Amino acid sequence: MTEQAERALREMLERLEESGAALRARDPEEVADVLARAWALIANPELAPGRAARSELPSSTGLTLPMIAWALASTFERAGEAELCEAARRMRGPDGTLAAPARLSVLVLAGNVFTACVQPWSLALLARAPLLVKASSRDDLLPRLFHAALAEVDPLLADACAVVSFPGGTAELEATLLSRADVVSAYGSDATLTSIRQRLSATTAFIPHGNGLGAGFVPALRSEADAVAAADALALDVAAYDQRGCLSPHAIWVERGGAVDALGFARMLAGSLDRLSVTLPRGSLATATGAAQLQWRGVAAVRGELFEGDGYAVSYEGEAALRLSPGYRNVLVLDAASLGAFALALAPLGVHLKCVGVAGDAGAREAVARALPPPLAPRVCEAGRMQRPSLLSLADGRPPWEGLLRYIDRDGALSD
Amino acid sequence: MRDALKARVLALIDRLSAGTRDDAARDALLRELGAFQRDHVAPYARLWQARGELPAMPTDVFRHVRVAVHPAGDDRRVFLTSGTTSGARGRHALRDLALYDRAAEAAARYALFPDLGAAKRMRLCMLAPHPDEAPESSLSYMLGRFEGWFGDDTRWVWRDGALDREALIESLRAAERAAEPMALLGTSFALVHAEDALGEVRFALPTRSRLMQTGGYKGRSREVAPDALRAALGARYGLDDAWIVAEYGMTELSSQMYEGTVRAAALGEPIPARRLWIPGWVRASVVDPSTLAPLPEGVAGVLRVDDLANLDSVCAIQTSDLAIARGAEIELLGRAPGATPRGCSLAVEEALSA
Repeated sequence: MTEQAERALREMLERLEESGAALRARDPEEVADVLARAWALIANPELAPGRAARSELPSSTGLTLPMIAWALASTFERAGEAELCEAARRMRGPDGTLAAPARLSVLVLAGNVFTACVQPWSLALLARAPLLVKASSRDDLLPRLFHAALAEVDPLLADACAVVSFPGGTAELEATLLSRADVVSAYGSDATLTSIRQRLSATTAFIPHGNGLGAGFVPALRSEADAVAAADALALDVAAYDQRGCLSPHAIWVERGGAVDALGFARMLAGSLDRLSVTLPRGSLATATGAAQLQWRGVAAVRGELFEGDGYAVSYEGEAALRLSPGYRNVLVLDAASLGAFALALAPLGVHLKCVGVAGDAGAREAVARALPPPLAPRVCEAGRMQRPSLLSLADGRPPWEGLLRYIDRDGALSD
Repeated sequence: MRDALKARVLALIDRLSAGTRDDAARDALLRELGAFQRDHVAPYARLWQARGELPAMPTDVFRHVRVAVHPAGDDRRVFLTSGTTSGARGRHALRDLALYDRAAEAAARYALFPDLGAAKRMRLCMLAPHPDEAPESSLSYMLGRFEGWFGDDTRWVWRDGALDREALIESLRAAERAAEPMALLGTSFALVHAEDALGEVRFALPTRSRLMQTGGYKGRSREVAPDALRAALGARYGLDDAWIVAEYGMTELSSQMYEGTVRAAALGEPIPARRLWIPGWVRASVVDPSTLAPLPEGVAGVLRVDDLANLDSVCAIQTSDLAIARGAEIELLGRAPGATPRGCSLAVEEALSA
């Protein structure tokens, strides 16, 4: 059985490699158009792919239907033709160079939020690098739906990618999967990434997307209305994907001296989460997750102020040390004496810090970005947009197309 | 008040140590003890306020705040949880060990050594650190007490954080030569290390020898499913399956629970299913993690343990262990796999504790 599966996988990889010639002959803007139309099929709840996504994703992801609908809408609004074309333009590389796509790229998705494939898949095809997607066996619905949508819009482009899923630990299949790629981009735990890295050849580019988390920052705001807006925005960041993503905030620091103190902000945040529990209800909780939540909330009850409701909890814990949340809309609110103190509190997170959502204006975001000590390099974004990165957003501080392209340096080249 | 409660708990343990039950007396005493602790343990008073009467203190709380009736200066012993990736270790401070000792001896005598008369002893081999080496380990403390209560020619074969393979072999061979039963007691991960270290070495321990395993792996050895480990241990040491028993204990508790197979085998009774026997001075219930309401029999939830021997901390403890109530017993499903959601978040606690 494994031998047969291994042979089939090897043949699939060969077909993908062979499809590269046709793919490289395509105009990137044409590819962008096809991608946009394929994603639109899933975005539209009136069409069959969109209907399938909305009917099947709640059970495969554990998210509620309103949450699925929100995630699809907010993801595909960022995968339109204009954004895809802009990505293609930026991928051309510096003047005097010629982009050289990978012969074969592999994307390993491991229990990520269900829309995690959208950016890397789009960029691989825009780079004109054939792509094999290894999806989580529990959660491969969106990749499979997208591949079918792509086949509907442009069968030739669909031939340049494929989706497989098999249980982890199938060593022979994994070895085959990793053996021929020029670049492997992988999501998963640090242990998973280490295991993949060890099995790659020295010449294979490896783009790891390890475990991570987000944090929120509320600078000293001038008015209560600003604080209400900040609470609403950060509540959405907490609620999105039920706080299971690597961009999800686990804690929000509130700078002293504003119109609303951290305790007041925690209360506001709970109110905002309460309203979201109606419009974007949380998915059901597995017993094991419930056990973790019970522990987290218990600590909150004895050392802080706990605000809890239907499917959410906010714990205000003063200047206590950061405590990681079990996810599922359990968030910590802490005091920050200053922006510097906030930055210092984040330092231990290192490369695991993926995103900082900042209330207030662009100036506040600029100040936060400049205050972060090395090696922190998260995406610093507006509160309310933590789970809605642009297609062009850096991934783990690196260009999101890293590894998909190298560039031929042409001495004395004519401009293209 | 405390001394009076202590005396009543000691009396109840003595009265129920033969396996009898008086749940009404237990529950009444738990209510009194809980109220006493609410009045003397500030974090528990806060929890009581947030969750209502006699709430269960989550074990994580022991990592973050002191949970004790008495000031730190009166600590006689502080047991620490094993290190985890989340950094701080839980601390269980005890002002005296009389209740711990009485509960541990009574439970072990009932479930692990039911065939040892008061004056009888047996060979013991410990796959755990000696209490002098690990004074913060409640397990080591308990095993040290076992040496005093039940042991004859006790060997400690886990030293300086590693298995002393030769000492283990010598201890087991000595029991074989003497044809005297022995008890092998240790952590699951130490037993797995022994499995790996012993290679082809096999033993045929004398009849009525027994093995007690406890605790999880916490990344300190490869993990082996309970059935597979039991099968391997039985084959390794020449023990029938019934003579291998799991013990359930926690740093935050003062009492232990055991599977009932060794007792049944030792007394010639039918071998029961592998479920935890609950001592009469302990109340174990399975609760819904969201509502905290007790769940009916047969439904999986989270284990809550109310332990009368927890006099100087909090008697009601909320564990993270998943379990199912089966009559008066508990079927343990294992530790909830931590706080890791299904997304790519988390597993960064190493960074926080660095």
